[in-house]
Amino acid sequence: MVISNQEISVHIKDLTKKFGDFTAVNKISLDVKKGEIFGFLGANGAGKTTAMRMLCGLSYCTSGEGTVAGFDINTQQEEIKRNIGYMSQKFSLYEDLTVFENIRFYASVYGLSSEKIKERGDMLLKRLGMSEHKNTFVKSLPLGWKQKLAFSIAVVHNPKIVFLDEPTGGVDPVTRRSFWNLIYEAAENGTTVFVTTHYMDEAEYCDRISLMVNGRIMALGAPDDLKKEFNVENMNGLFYLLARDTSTL
Amino acid sequence: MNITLELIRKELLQIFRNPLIVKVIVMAPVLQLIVLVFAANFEIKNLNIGFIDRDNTSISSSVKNSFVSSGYFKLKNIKKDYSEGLKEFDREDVDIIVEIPDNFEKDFKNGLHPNMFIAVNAINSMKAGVASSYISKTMATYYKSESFLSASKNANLQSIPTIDVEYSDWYNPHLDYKSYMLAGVLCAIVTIMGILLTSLNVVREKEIGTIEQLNVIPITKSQFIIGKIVPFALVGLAQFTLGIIVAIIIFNMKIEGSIVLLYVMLLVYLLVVLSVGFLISIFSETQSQAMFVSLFCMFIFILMSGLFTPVESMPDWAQYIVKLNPLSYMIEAMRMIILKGSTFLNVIKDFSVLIGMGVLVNSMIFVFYKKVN
Repeated sequence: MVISNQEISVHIKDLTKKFGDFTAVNKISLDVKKGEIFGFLGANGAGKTTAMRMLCGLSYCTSGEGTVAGFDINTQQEEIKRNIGYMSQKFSLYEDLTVFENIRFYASVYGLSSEKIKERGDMLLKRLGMSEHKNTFVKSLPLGWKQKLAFSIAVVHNPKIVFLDEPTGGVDPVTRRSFWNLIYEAAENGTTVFVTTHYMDEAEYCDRISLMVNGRIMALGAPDDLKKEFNVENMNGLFYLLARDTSTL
Repeated sequence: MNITLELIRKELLQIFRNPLIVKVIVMAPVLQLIVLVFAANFEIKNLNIGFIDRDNTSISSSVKNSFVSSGYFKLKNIKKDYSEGLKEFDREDVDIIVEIPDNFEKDFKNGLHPNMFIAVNAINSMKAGVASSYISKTMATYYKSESFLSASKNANLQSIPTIDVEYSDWYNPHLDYKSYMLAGVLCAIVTIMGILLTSLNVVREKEIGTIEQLNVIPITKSQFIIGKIVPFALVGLAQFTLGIIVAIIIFNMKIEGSIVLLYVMLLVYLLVVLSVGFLISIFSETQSQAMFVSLFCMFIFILMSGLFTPVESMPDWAQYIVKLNPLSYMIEAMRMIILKGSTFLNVIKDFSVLIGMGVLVNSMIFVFYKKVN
């Protein structure tokens, strides 16, 4: 299948990152289409976060090439940053600021006008059911709310791609479900979603996934296709089959 | 530009959200000025003199009286001899021993130039230096006193020609150390708060993880640096202004020179110290690391600045270190402007050195702060 350039959000080829002798990411290649929800799976320490940081322009690759939103990851980091949203593994909101102050800060650095910020902020809070918490300090919100708020803020400027690094870690199943509804909404609006997760039920929600083991991509495709290809019942089975090597460490 | 303003607004919100920081910002200049300026007293009063008078004549008691009336000394009579005086030294009961030998008056009248013996406890060398100069001052006064002149008239003395040295103290005629200290302590307060607040700032974002988010937003390095330094410069300005007001109200400090010049120097100086704090923050991974390095820098800055000890009396190698210390230039300029009314041309050396340092440290930030690693 030939995909035209306009339809590709993320393209990487032979992307490699070495820290001294250790190869964290070993020649990975993949393409993500526009509007796709792409699950970037792997065990702890498989190199997911390292790879994602290179895509977001936070870290230089040792070798390889790639584009994000059409911009080169080796030379055009600043252009990339203008077109993506990023939610890091560590919590990314300011706990000593209120909900709305966080929204205003992140929205305004992407150049949104104050009327736009107010309008989108109110809309966002309404969707999250948090309108009455507009002036609550973030530190007093429960974790699930914080995560949903952090995601909404990461896409408040309608980025072309949003990178989510384990966004649902430590969140209860009901909240995870509603978090994924937010992800679907963003994808419907044309935002490409690049998400890492440890929850295999979440992997089933993705259009396509890749599975990384020891810095390499061992499987790449739609969840149903992969289940047939590897002859496993569900994504958990696939994960056990491929990631067994590392988990014995 | 808009991004920078947003970052400044965010930082100010965070600073003033923290009730402890606000209290420190307000209380530090007020309390430190009041306490430090009174406590860091260069005048030495109440030096304890152990007086051993073995002559017991009118001359020896007139010497004794001249010490008492000078106002610097507290007299303690020692009955026995010098060894008794040494014991008093050991107990730290006296700082100085003055011994008038037997036949002092008799020898004097016979023109024999008798010696009196003075020993100074030099464990605190600064105090000892001051004590010695007080003693010579007291004796110089005594040589001109009635009792000495009338005594020497009767003596078989050939007149000894003496050169009188007259002192006049310019710019600080009452030798008021307070106005001298105020300028320096104010600079020290601004330094401490400036380095601490900035050095803990970026590293705090590293600890809570928001630095990743700041690195992934489209903000240039200079926007980031300006956005992180300006809020603390505003804090520094506020503190300094508060300090000046306290100094004027409580200490009746007079500013001889231009206030505008004072603030120009302050802004240039803030650029340097805040950048130093920023640089510390870049190299630290945790707030405690940043705190240790900041404390080290603050100690060097303050002790090697000429705030408490005159630079001129330091050894050569130490004077070279002082030349690298931004605080020493700031204190020098402040004292010149406040006490002497110096103009911009008088402090242009300090101004240019501080500008140079600011440019240097900021270029280092530019090189070492990595948005992409």
